[in-house]
Amino acid sequence: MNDGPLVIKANKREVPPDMPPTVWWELVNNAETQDFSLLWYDPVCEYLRPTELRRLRAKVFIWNEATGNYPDTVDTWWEPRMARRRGEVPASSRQAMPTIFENTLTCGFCNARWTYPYPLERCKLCDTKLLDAPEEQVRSIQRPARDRMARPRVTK
Amino acid sequence: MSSRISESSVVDLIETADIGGTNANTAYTTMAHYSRARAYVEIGTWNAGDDLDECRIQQASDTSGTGVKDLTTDESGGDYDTDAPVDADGDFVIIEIRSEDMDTDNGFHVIRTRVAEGGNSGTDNVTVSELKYGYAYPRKELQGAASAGSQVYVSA
Repeated sequence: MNDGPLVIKANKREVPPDMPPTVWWELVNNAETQDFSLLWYDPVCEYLRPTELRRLRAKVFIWNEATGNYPDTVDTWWEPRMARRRGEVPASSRQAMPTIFENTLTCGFCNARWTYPYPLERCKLCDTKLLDAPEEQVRSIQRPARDRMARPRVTK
Repeated sequence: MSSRISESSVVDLIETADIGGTNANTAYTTMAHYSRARAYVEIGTWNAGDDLDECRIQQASDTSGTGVKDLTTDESGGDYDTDAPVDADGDFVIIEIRSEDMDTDNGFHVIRTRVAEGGNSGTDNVTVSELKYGYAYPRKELQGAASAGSQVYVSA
């Protein structure tokens, strides 16, 4: 039976390490038929729609089966992000210091990489509040290298 | 007597490229003899103000792209639903199609994968691989053979 094209959207961070994404997706789909309501809880569960909650719990189950652990956070996973995008999840209270290197800002929590102009307040992937980057890092990015080289020499 | 026969497949790539304000496409390659194709699109360093606006597989009647048209859709509610686009480092999209989804009656036997970003707030890096698999040698049509000709080979 051909149901037409199959399209999967997710983030690498929700796929257990060493598991091919297509294999993972098939396991998640199969697991969705089971009831994992007592398996795991996170406050974000309160804000998800029923179909999203069922899929998230199935993903957590597969993560647990593959790694032996429960995920530290699901903030980078697809369903919480969609709920956050709809404005249905309160802002995270988590804070982290980003790093800036070669025109790329890296979130201090989820390691998502962002190009200039950087997200000003929160990481768009995990919703972590980004603390001010070290002053010297920001300054070195904002000032082109050739300007530094062309700085006039001070002579007396 | 037994033998292990591995499956033949073909991979086409878009090396990591900045598609901020522009698009990228794999080369047109034929699906002749292949039963399925899968596109894997992964976002790398990305700008927080941008989304992946287009992500689809297209079909054409030759490798010059004659008559190119969409095989999968990218629109609101489409196969790649643009209401929920991928937009962060590590996000991926997998699109899987079958050769019977193609308009072979009208000679469409070539595919390519297309991605695009329209906002261009900054650098948007994406990597694409397109895999064709399920190879089979041309074979005689067993049932419902055409009235003209004694042998009919399926070439697309």
